[in-house]
Amino acid sequence: MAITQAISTSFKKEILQGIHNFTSGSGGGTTTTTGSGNTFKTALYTSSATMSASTTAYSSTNEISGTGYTAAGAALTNVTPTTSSTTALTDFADLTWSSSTITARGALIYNSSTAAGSANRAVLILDFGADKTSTSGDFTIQFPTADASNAIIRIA
Amino acid sequence: MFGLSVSQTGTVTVATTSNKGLPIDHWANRATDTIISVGNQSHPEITEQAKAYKEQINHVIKHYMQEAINSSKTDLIAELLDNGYEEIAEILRKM
Repeated sequence: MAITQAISTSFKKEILQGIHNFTSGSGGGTTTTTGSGNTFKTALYTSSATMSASTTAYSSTNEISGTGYTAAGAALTNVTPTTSSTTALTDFADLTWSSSTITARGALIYNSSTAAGSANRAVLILDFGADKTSTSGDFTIQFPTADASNAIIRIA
Repeated sequence: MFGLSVSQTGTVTVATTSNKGLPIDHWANRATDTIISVGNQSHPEITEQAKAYKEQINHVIKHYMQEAINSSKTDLIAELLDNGYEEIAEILRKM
């Protein structure tokens, strides 16, 4: 049992199928605009979870529970994809579970929109390296600098 | 033939606290880092200017974050007093 940090292999295929839309905000798409983005969530997992590049979808197995945490995780705030030189990248705003008492070893970012083909599809798996615990406090995931070398999701 | 590389995911950092929230410095630094990124390949003088600007922005953000917290606290204290919770309001005022 282990959590291995990776981009889901199924997600790579689904990019080519046009299933995921990371655009921020709302509004209908047109032939020249991307329209509204999908809703992505982060679910937290215990060290008993097994997740890797082969993870394809959200699962409640070994998901954490605790004060301030709701099953299926919390919604992320998308940052509209951009480019830096020849690299395309996207980002999310930091996510905090406030006044929480929880322990997690890793996380799954997944698409929680209800559009056909995208529902609960895995995007990437995060390994925190060790159990992280908040006790009546904040549990915050900080995303890396949104540049061509560090952004959370990059296509080069 | 084209090569498309979806890199390994970037590295996140997890910050946690016990019996308190993250300090205002943490949030001000996160806000500043999100707004301004100083590259390491710029001319040294440009880099220095950018770093000085970033520090100034950090101070401004920190100041107005504190003001927002104070305003929120004022709202809470007023609400508590309106509902007869003077002791809790006093604890909040001293925080």
